[in-house]
Amino acid sequence: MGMARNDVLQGTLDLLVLKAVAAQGRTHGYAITAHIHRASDDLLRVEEGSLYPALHRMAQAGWLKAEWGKTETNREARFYSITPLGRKQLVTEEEDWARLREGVQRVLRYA
Amino acid sequence: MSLLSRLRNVFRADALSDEIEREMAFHIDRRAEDLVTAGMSPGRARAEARRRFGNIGKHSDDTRNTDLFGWFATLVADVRYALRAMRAQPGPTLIVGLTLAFGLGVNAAVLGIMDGLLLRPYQFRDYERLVMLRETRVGASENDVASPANFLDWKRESRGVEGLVAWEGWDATLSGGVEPERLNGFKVSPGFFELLGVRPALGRWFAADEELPGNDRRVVISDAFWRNRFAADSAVIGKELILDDVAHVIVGLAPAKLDFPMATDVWSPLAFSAARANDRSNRSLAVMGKLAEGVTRREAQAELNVVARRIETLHPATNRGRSISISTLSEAFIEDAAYVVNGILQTAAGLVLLVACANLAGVLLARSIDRRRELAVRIALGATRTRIVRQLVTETIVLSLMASSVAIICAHIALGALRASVPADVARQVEGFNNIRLDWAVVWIIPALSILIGLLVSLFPALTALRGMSSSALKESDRGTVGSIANLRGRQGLVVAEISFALSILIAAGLTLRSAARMIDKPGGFDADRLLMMQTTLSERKYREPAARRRFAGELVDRLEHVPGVEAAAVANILPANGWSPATPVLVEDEFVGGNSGRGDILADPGRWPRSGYRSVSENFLRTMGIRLLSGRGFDSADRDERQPVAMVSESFAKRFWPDRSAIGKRIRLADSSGAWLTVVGVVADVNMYNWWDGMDYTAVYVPLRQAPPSGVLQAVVRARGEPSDVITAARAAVREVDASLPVDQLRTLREAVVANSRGMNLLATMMAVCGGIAMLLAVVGIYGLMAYTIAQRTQEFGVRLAFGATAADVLRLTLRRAARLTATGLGVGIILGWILARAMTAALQGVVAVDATTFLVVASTLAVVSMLSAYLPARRALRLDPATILRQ
Repeated sequence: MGMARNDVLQGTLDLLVLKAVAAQGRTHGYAITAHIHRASDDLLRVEEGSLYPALHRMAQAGWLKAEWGKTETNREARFYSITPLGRKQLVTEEEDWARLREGVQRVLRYA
Repeated sequence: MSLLSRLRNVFRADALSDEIEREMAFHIDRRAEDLVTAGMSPGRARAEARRRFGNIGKHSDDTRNTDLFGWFATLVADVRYALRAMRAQPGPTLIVGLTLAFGLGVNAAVLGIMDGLLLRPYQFRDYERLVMLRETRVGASENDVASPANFLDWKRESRGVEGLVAWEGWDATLSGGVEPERLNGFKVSPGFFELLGVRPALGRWFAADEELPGNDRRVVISDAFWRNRFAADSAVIGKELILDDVAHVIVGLAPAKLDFPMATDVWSPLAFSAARANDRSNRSLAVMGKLAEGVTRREAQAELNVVARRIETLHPATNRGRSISISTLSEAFIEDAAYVVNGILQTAAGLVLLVACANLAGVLLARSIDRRRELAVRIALGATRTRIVRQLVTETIVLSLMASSVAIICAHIALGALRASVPADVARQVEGFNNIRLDWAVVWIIPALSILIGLLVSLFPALTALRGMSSSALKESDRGTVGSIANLRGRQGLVVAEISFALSILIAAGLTLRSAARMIDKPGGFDADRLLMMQTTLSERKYREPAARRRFAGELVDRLEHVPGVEAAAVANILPANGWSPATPVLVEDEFVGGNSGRGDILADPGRWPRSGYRSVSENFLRTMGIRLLSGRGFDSADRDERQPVAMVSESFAKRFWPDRSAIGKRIRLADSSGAWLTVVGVVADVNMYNWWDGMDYTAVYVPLRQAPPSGVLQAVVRARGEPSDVITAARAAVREVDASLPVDQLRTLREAVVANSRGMNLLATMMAVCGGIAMLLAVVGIYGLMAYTIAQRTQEFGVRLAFGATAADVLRLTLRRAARLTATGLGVGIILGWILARAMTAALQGVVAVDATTFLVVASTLAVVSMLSAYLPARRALRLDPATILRQ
């Protein structure tokens, strides 16, 4: 697909992924893209090419826990769940995002 | 992800790729399934799912790189931040870095020395499998050498130890040149060089049939001898050397790296005559072999025990109680002193490093206070505490790694200088000296150590910096901040540690220096002024008869005494300061009469007698050497062999065996005095023989040279009326006039001999002085830094005190009292440490190192002054300021 138009804004990917994982509990990569796609009413689409490096990076940072497991249909998949550290990070990212949105809106309103 | 799993990722990159591809394949499968559910045909759904996923290979690579290098990227960022922080404070960084570099450098150098002298003194093929076989006997103190017949039996019967070879020393006299010359030779079994796994530089080694008598007129020459004698002429093979009056053909040249057993000029085949091949009672052979492939030392030892028992049963008269013991080359050849010297140096180096670490920790603690605001800002910006601790630790490790590279370079240069400072002919006398160098096999310890130090030293300051930190730290002014109590305590502890470590090294260094100086300056029982010595080697063929040796000695003394400018002359089997002290088993009559158990057994078994130094000396030896006669009489011309045999003993000997009685008139027996009792006629002052590495033993028995003329090496000494070097030519001529075929060497003043024989001790003292100097320097920098910092932190407090009416003198007194308490604690701990160290040294180098109060006193008071000045100077500076200014700052 690779259409820049609905690519996720650089820097908000972590926020979206963390939020998706937090909302879904224990989940895999495909479900995360599907969740974001659905929850944004088809407005946002996460690039697979960015998703997987991001998932692995966040696992390294200790925000996510990764492990192999079985799906409902008994298929092997790599599952991610959020760690306490990840929850803290999510709060920080949400605050940052709120500040950014507020700032950008003010600029748009008064500039 | 843990560090472990990251590292695992690096080492199993393939498995990792596989995992990532499986994860992505699952993603595509699920997308395809959903598309099918939405009504697409399975084939199209798969293609669409793939298309949407994009470039699998690239995505997978990106993900993999994240796993492999993500943590690395953090590290790189930390390192770059660390470098930036260093650039921001170049001065302190440089001082701390150099401090640590010194500490690590000293340790790197000592490691290099240990590597050469102890770990890998020899560089032979299969070095670990080479073993020495020693003929030993329970309760006996012999030299562990083997008899020829026993060696031949071992060689025939041993399977666990292969390729057995034997060797013995050979004082060869080289003639045919201008002057006869003594060479340091070894007679070795053919197979000797092959066992060591070396190839000849030129020519060949010995053939098997060259161990037959008459077939053994061959020599292999050493590289050093080749260069000195033949100017490295490559056409040397086939030339002849006249050794002990017999022509020997040079068949091979040894490579430069081969100088085994020690400082060798020539090797010649060891050939046994029929009589010698059956000799089991004269023991003189060193025996070496190689453990067979797959055979352990224990197995080989078990087999040799059987061999020994069998020989014992067959030849009880000569082999009763004799066993064969295996030892490694290191066990057999490395002097105990090498371990002692290394232990001392290692301890000193370790202490220097501790001082350096204390310095580093001090700076970090101080800096952690100064950096509270910076850290508070970073925390406010969202950095986690773990992240910050990691950052601070990385910073220190980067610094310590840089210090370790500087350290290794410095140590490399220092060891080069050390090798260059010792003349080649002396270096050859110390096993492994030429192997002293920095090699990665041991040097890796330095960077590893530096990482460990960085980690340990930085963790505490990093944690105290974060303790109790909240966003309020941002608002906190620097005024009045003294840091946490833990931080202050930490710094006080460091001052105490620095003083005590530095003090203990300085004590050890001081004792070593004083001991070395005493060895050289104080003659040690004789008067070293105006003495000239020389050495000759009596050939075995010409001087087999004692009468011939006696006649030679008598004539030589006679000639020497008639040389103009000579006051007195004497000869002896050994003079002080010649690197060696022959010893013999001695039986004291009283002792063995007192303990009458097994009287006959002990009498017949010199192996169980106590050992003592053995000197065979001419009549005027005491007068020539200036050795004091304490009681009784010296030898005179009446002490001939036909009369009652006599002896003199040293003061230590007399004290050891007759502690509360006079030694005069007592009787002793020597192992080789053929059953005669010697009557003690005199007691003389103890003489320092200068072989300090053996530990000093002053017990000695003197016998008249007329009654027991030594064979082989004979040393002569003359006391000149003026400059001893003025009579050198005449002294050499005197030997030639008596027998022109004899070599003369070691022609030098006794002072020169003393200096040469104290060289090792001097080197040790120099190295200890370097360690002490570095420790002192580091401690001064460190103590001053810590004291000055603490006082700077207290300036505010000073201002308050002054404002409330305290006088500057009051505040100064208060500050100095605090400093004095720390100093006193440091000195107390340091004196205890130093005392332990000193005791260990005196025990290890018996009689060489003596504990003296002066050293303790001088060193301790120097450090006390330094420490107090470190508090006084900054405090006085702080108090010069106006209190109002201080408070307003």
